[in-house]
Amino acid sequence: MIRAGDIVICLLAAALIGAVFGWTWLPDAPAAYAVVRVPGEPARRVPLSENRRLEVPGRLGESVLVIRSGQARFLHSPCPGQYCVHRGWLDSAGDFAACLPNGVSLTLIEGEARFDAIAF
Amino acid sequence: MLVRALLISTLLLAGCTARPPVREYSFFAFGTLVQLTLYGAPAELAEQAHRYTARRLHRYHDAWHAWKNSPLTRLNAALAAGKSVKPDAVLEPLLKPAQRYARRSNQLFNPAIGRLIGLWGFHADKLPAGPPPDPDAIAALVEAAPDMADLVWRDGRLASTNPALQLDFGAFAKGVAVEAIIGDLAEMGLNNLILNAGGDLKVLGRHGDRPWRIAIRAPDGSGVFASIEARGGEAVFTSGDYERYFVWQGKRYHHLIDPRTGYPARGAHSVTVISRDGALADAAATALFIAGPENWPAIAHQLGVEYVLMVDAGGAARMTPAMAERVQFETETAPPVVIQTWAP
Repeated sequence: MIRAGDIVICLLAAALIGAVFGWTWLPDAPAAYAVVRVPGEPARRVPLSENRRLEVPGRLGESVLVIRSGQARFLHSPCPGQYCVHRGWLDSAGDFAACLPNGVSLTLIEGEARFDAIAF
Repeated sequence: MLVRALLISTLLLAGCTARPPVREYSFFAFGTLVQLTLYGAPAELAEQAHRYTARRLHRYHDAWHAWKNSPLTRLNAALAAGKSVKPDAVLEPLLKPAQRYARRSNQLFNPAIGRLIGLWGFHADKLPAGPPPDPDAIAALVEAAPDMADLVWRDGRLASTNPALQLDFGAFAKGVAVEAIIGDLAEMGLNNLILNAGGDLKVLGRHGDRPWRIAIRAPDGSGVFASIEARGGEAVFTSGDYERYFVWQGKRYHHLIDPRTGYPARGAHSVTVISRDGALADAAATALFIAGPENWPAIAHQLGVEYVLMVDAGGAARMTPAMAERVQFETETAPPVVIQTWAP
């Protein structure tokens, strides 16, 4: 039985991971891309420079994300808590919002990736 | 009106200062995921380069295939039948360079052991499940000892003096292909790019005002453990025991077969080589892996390879002095480092 408190803890944990990711991997910089993760698909990198609306399918249904003026946010999501929507606009590298029930997350990253290619 | 003009000129200025775009294409070719990263290339030229690269890789893959009907398997059949043949022109970039690198690596880079590779079950799209092959069958092929010196040229025709010889350029084809295609891309006017064929890559130029940054993945799959800045024209090739393998009774059997024993070479997890020649880098990565943690510096010297990083079975990073100056570890605690040089 999942209770509201559990969801809050999960969200806090997810936010912490996002923040640690931001602090560790990304120097302070304005965000240039939104990374959208959806269950069962590779992460998608979307430039923040173009205003657009993304409708992404999740486990419960469709989450709607909007990108406008270099910011991004959840507009709708088919979850009971609506924490992702209430998170509001994200605008800096490392900012993070997720709809855990739907499995959709949104992370802002800076413009330049740390590496251009991976050798193995 | 004035506001509008100001707005437009601001937009134009913003356009001027905008960074030239990096375009990235990912596609499946040569049995692996290929990424072509282009800096500052006009859209149309970039598209053209993408299509060209994919087409060339597909063509080489088909022509050089070691176990599906191809010019290479037909050459193998003719050589095994004791015939003297003029090899298909598409095989030319492979044959003589491979003989040269085989000789310079004391035949540790040995594309003549195709039968051994096949015996281990690596001549299939699906990885073998084990068990390892019959030890007697392995011993017989080791005893026959085919190598690239068994290939004899006469008037442009090729013959084999060893009936056990079967060519398999799995440790070389990617390097030759990347080298050839990059040369053509440069001629098309693309001077700042990375062609990354499943973790083996070559770069041209730079990423604008900085060099290309290349991450090196840890051989145990734990993520990026080191990085280097690649200079224009350099190739970075890695051979590892994690690429193609099967596990039988708790033991890993990988595809880098030591021609001297007939079994997977032990002692190393991976070898990364940087060279301006992608074909040499590819051959050297395999040869040095097989040479092992003690003997690789001598072979690297013979091959003329300056930048080598070996992660040995114990997890230590063994490097040439020149490589040690370029590698930056990306893990919280750096692995033990052993600097090795060649002493006659």
